[in-house]
Amino acid sequence: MGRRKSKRKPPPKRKAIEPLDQQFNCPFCNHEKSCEVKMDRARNTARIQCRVCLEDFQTTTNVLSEPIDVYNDWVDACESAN
Amino acid sequence: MTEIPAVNAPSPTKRFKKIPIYVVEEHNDALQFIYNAIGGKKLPLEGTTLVHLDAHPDMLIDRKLKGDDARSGRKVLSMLQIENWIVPAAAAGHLGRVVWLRPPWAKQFSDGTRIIRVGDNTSGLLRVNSKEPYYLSDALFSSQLENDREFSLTVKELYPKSEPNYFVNFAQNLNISMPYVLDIDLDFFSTGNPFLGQYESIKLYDRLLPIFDFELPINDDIETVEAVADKREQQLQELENLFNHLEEHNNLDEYEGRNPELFEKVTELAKVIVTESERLGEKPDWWSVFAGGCTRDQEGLPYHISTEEEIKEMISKALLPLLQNLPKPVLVTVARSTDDGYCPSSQVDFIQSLVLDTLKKVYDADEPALYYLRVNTS
Repeated sequence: MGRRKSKRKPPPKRKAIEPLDQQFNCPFCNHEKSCEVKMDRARNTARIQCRVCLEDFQTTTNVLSEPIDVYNDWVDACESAN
Repeated sequence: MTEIPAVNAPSPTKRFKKIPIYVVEEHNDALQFIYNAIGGKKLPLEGTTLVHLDAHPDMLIDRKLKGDDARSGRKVLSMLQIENWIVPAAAAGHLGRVVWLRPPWAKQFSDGTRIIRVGDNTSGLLRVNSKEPYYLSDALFSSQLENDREFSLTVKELYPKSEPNYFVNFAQNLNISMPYVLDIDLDFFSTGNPFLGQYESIKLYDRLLPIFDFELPINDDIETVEAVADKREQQLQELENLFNHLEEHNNLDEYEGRNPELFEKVTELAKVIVTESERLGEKPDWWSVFAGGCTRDQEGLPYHISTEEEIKEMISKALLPLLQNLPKPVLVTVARSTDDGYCPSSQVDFIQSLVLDTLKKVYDADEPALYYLRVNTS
């Protein structure tokens, strides 16, 4: 039995996958979009820091991790500490 | 067929508070949510099981996809199409087992469990060692694979049953272990074939068969199978070149090809299509004709438009008791597949509503995220 195909030709530049957030609100000083993530892909680690209050957090990552995952790890760590 | 293997996936470190449900239009868009869950440590990096209810296996590979790209993390997501989004995730190790639950009218694979090796051929392109017709017909077989991994594929027919114990045994036999992703294509319940109606008055779908058809190997010796795969690769490449030329020039007058027989067949077909298009007052859609031809090997695509009663029965006497007897998934993805004509547009909202109601009945789930409303896929 045959193989499914899309009837429509894929556009030369295919549509983007939903973009994920890159900047986040600080869970300490509550400033909006003040936290940025630096991913160290080679070491499977990442660091997030608030440029306003300078609070930071480091976590492990994998090949599919994105900045949002680092931020979520930080928020989870804050919740479990509280 | 081999025994169903136990897939040992290391436990993820985090859990969703409620089971998320993502509804997408094109089925390949489901994979980003699986990758998001792996990135977010809700699924392990390797070895997740995908339980896939669909009228189509979606287990092909883009013949031009490199193994390196399949293993490149999220970069591969924008390279995938509806028919080929699962195997690259297995090649990267993220999926260790695929369970394709098929409606009775979908027979692309025989029932049972098999181990498939996926890796790079000598040109670095992603290929499998499977000799099944599904892969041979797309020239995806290779006996020499590097950077390879194994995954298991279980295929099983799912249909309505009233006996109370049937789905207890059905689920036990499937032996689904956590963590797994439940993935439902709404065309499982009612299946269209978008190519059947294309240039129907000239019976295009029938005319495509002798052009795109191919013969399976007479035995399964590696040399014989590889020779068939090579010949098929050349046939598909030549056809792609011919239809690309048609798309650019609307004729084959200056085409320089290598296969006079195919050239002659496509030239004849093109004349008929041009005449029919002129009658209809439209420009020929050569890509769509080519795509239709690619579905035309062997028996063609599954086609079964279910009645409303059949749909209700498949949901209440197959989907519901199945889910009640399986462990709870980490997340659920649902594909509408209606813009491409695989789930009838007149039925898709009805089916979606019944499926989502069933999921909410069985699971402590989040409100479904209707991703298809946020992206323009047309």
